[in-house]
Amino acid sequence: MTAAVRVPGHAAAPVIGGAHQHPGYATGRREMRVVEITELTAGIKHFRFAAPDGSMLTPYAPGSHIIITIGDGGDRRNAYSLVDDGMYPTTYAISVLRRGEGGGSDWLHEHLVPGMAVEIEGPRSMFAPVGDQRHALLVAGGVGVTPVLSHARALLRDGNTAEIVYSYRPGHAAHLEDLRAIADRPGIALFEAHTVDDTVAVLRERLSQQRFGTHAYACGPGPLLETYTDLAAEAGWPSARVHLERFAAPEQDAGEPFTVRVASTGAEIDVPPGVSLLQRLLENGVPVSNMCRQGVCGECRIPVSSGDITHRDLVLSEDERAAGNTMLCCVSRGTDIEVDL
Amino acid sequence: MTTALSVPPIHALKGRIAAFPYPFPEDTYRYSTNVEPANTPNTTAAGGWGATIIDIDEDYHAELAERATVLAADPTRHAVLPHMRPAAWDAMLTVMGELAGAYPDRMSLRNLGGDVWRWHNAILDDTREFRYGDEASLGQEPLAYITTQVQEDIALLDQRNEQLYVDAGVVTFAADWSFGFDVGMSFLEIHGPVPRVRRDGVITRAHDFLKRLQPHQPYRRTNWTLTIGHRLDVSTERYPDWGPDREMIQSVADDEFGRLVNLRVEVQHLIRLPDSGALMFLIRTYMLSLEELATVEDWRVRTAQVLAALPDDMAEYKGIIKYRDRAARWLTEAAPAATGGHSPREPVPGLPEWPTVPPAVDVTGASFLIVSIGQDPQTSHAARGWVRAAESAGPTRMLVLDSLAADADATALRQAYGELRTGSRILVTGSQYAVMMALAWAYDAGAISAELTAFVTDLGDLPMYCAHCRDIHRVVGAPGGVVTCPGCSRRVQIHGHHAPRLGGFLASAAAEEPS
Repeated sequence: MTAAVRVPGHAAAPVIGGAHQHPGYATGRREMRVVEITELTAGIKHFRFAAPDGSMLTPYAPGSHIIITIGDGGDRRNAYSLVDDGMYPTTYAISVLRRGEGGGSDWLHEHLVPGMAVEIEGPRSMFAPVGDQRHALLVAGGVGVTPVLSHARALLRDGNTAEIVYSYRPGHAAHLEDLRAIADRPGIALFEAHTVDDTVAVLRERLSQQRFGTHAYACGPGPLLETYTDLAAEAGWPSARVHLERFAAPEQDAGEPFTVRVASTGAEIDVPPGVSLLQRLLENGVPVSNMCRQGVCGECRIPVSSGDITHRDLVLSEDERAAGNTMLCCVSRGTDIEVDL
Repeated sequence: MTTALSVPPIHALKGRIAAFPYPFPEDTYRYSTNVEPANTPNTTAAGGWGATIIDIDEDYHAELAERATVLAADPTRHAVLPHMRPAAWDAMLTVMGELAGAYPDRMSLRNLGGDVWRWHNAILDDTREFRYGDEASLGQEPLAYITTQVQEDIALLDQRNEQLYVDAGVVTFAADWSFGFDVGMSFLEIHGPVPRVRRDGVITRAHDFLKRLQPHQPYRRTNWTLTIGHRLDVSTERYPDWGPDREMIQSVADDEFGRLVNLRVEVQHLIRLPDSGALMFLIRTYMLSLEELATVEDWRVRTAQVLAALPDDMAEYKGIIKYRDRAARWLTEAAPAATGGHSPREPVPGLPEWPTVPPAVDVTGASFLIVSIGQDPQTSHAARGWVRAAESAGPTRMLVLDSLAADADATALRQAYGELRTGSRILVTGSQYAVMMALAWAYDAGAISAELTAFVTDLGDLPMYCAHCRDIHRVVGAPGGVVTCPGCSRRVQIHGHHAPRLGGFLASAAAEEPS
């Protein structure tokens, strides 16, 4: 394990006040700094990020992830699970396996150095614990240990009970000592498996032995997750108790760029990826009433005279979608669209 | 009528009118998912509102004192289910942060390192140093404490299994609902009785929206009704105090009517708490009498139109059907009396739907507990059928009980639940009372709906939650009926509104005593 490099600048007693809390509690794209890089195994590095002024960061639910902009272009963004319990953090920490395919993980391994600025969005919560669970069964495969560690730390903090199954190749297990230390606490047990057969046997046994009211959470490679869901079904678990996160978190995708023609004026408006048609219409002085901006309230429904619409809202019925003459411009996108405004 | 009805002093009115969150953007009102981002100021015909999430106004001391009185008289207005304790801390710290942000000259929140915080409220001259998560250091339960600092009521919703559950809160200013009854119910269950919203999909859309709400993206909406007198606590529990006002108001003189009838508006903020993932509802109640409302011409005209055009089912649900026509007339002054159409009453939702034949055993389970309660031959027949099907799918245990009212049987059932492993299924048959109680205890033991199957063989009895003695009783009766509460001897009406996790139908004092 190489020595960690720390950058000074943590405020000792931040005061909340003056500005409104929510804008200060940022989760939008913003600049953060690398404050620590640790090599956990031959292929896995641990990165910690802090606000430029060292102030407190937005807390997060266990199992949350952040989205990091890879490289300089700003169009490649990857999600990484956070490893801490999420309670008023001053840093966000991720552990990344270098995949060696020229992707985001390679870039992080090769380019990040302490002190460097990185664009980060989130945290976002997509893998949170179920609040009224009586007990938790946590399952990690390889570097999928990261959200599992976050859950385990939060369970430990709250004094709850859990069983943890960690499947790894000896010598390549990130955070193994962290989990072993957590399992020293009564009520938390760690089961380690080194081979596929071991993993199947341990999972089958643990899934049959959980007290009533347990929820299970797994993160790892696809084959492990398939085994996990199959074995859980075999053990009679309803799917509502069987939670999982794939390595690539399903993000609301930014969509392709497209152009919209406004029928009344003939104006052509470009809509880049990650920007809504609603926003572009408003910027171009086309008034559209709107409220929720999430495709729920239906307020920003606008008439469409032609084009192919990709509906992404929760309001329109199947028939209305098929008719193709209306869209919710806060979330939906398309190609060759003319709006009847 | 001896009920005291307060009217605020006239000098305090100007600020209240300017800051009033007038709720009608159009001349008709229908239920909608009327959410918008919080923290954006709204302008109204008289002023504006909404620049901050928490709002402190000149009623601060009075409303906090009223909340303390309500809580002292009725502890069921405050509840935090055990799994919501972390969310309550999360809520408290979030609200403190909001207050410090909105009122930096009077409120401050400082981190003293680690888990230790210092909170100061200069308005109340209240300072607390506490360790996050340590109730002893704060001196009381965090939701109870933070609701001594804000005028807002707070409800916390837990999200699990794609549902939201109201599992904690301090609600002292409920508008015709019972927080003590609703605790533990899902969002969809709570809104079962609201007319139209299911048919129109409004509630399911709102539900979808809330489930996807992310931290630090607070939203808000408004809701409204009419209230007689400046009475904040119009909860189901206090119905005997305020219910009769609906009759009284019909016979008062016109000037008295305009002073007593208030447009009551709730500003509800919806906030995903960052650490616990719970949803926080802040519910703030504002009231303006018709007399005050009429001082703003736009509001006078529009409110009259909205009241006159409100469909009967919605007016009935809001509890204003007996006097909304007069309120509309009062506001329109010379206009002819609005009569409103007579739509037939829709069937009451909110009733459990029991199958007419025993449902099939869910053979995806790994083991089965079959519970047969009572002597009804139909009950034992259903249980035997289940046992035959279950035994071919996995280990099966049958538990035969006489009555859940007997302590020994109740203990045996809870013990059997305690011995289950995840992967088990629970099947229950018996009278409606027995089945609802057995299901409620199963939820209490950690079950989710997918693990439960039920068959009711006799609808003659039911578990009734009395809003006055706040206990569950077995009664012989049906929703809509009036019975004597076995706990407090009041004549109560059983409502078509049931809470599966509590295992009871809501009942409250019958509106009209049979003579």
